[in-house]
Amino acid sequence: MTPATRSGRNRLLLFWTVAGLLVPAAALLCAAVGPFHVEASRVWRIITHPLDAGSASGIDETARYIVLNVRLARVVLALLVGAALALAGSVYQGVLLNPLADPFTLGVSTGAAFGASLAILGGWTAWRLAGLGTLPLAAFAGAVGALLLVLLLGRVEGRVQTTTLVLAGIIVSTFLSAWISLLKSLNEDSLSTIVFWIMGSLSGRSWQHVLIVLPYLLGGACVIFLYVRELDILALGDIPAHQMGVAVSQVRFRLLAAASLITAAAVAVSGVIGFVGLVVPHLVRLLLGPRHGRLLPAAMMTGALLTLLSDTLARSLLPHGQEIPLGVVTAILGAPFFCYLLLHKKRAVLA
Amino acid sequence: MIRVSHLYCGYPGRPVLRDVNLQVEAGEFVGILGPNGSGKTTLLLALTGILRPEKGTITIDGHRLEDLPSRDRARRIAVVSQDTQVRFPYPCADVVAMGRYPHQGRWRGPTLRDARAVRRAMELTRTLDLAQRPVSDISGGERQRVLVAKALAQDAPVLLLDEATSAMDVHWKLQTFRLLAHLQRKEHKTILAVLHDVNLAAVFCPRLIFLKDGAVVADGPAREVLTPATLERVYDSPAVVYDVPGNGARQVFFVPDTEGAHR
Repeated sequence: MTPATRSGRNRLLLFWTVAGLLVPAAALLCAAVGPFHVEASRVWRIITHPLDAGSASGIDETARYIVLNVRLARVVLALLVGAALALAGSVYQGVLLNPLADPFTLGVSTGAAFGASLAILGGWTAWRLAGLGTLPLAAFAGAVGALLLVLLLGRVEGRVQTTTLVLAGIIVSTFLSAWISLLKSLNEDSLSTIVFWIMGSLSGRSWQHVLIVLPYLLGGACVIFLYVRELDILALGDIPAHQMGVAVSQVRFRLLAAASLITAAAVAVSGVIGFVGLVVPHLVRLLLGPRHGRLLPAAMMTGALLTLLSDTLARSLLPHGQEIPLGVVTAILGAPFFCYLLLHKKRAVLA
Repeated sequence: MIRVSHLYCGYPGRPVLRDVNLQVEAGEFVGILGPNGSGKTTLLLALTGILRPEKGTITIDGHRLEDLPSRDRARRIAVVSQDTQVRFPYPCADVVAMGRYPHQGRWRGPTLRDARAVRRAMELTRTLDLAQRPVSDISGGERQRVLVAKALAQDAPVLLLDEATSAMDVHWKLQTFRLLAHLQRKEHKTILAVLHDVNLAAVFCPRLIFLKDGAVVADGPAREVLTPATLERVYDSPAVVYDVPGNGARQVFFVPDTEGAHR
């Protein structure tokens, strides 16, 4: 083995050691942040209660309820949404061979926003289905609808081509954005709800929302990890990949469909959270190299951590329990960081 | 081994190949030549199943090309394509290892056989010293050598090359073609090389096929096909053919019509 591959492995080991310590620690500490004061040590005792019945003695019910049902649900949801967006972003960049691709390139986000706007304006948000508001369901339906439209438009003579796909994504997004603007102007009252939703937030989310995202993330990730080697080979271009025995159209369709469903589920519960899916894959590629077998799990971990930290900032920076939309925080932090990457690591980003 | 009969093929609204017939036996080394737009690349795309024939058939080892599953096809034909761009900075060794794809099962990691094939391909192409360099950081000629190594790692009996040495310097061009000739002789590889350099083809390819306007104009042993008449017909330029004293290689000199160029 050459020294270079050994240093690659050491980096991988270092990454996972740091991530493996950092993510649980961050989850614990972030669950202790909030207007209702609960120390990290008490959070720990509450979490370990099912394992050790004595650990939660002397902790009142309110603290227990807030930590378990409000904060932990939100922490877990932030981790899942971040992992989902980073995974989907990595796949989009790998399949579309476009360094600017992110989970929303194919119009999934505007589709979701359109579905959500319709639901908000139609007043359907009051209905409940299986313990959930209809808002995430409407958003999910909108996202899937937009995706199908883009895939339909992107097919040229029975073949899905990346350039046409990206163009179709832009067209569908623009078209749906116009409708969202129209819906907003039709009803001034619900404007702030729609805007807040579009900017992305995890405010008031519960374990129910975790249950929406989880199956899609798990199922989608299984499909994606099945095709990690193909993802690597696609970087050589369509024609060479085909000549090496990859069923290019089929593989690409499955990867995009899986990544898009993951995105749709994430957007349905959190609204549009930008930059995680764009920046994290670049960052991890710089750290661990471009091989997707390493990149994808590491990107999920990094995306989860960054989204959790951003969400904690979003809910704790302003006084009196006021929240900044999470999408605003990720954009404010993510855009300068992406600029830094562009300026200093231009070659690596735009290879 | 490879049989192309009455092949019509092209792109939507733009037919390129018209009634192409050719047969290549196992162990042949064939040079495919012709001016720009004559259909050389189209022929290679058809031979790898990327373009479907509009009419006519292509068979390999008696199987119709369309009937072969893609991985099966890739185990029979490896290609060094014109497009050398790789979008992410993979180490060159990783790129060569990708050539093993059609031999690998989905649930199995790389085997010892894969590792050996990769190492041997890199030794043959002398790319071992590039192994850990990012493929996006090396020169065009070096990248072409890495892609030749990738195709060799694919370990297919047929090797197709599309302008595979165009960015290499003279030394590496000759080195690569010597390697191909060696593999043809020792391992009975069947090699089809599309190239622009008539003289390089004349030295290394015992058989030459000239395409023009999507049809085969000449096909035969290099010494018979390389005539001023054929060359002028194919390239629309007057040519002189001569034998290099000492080694007997037939070479071509295209006479620049300096007098008449801007008349």
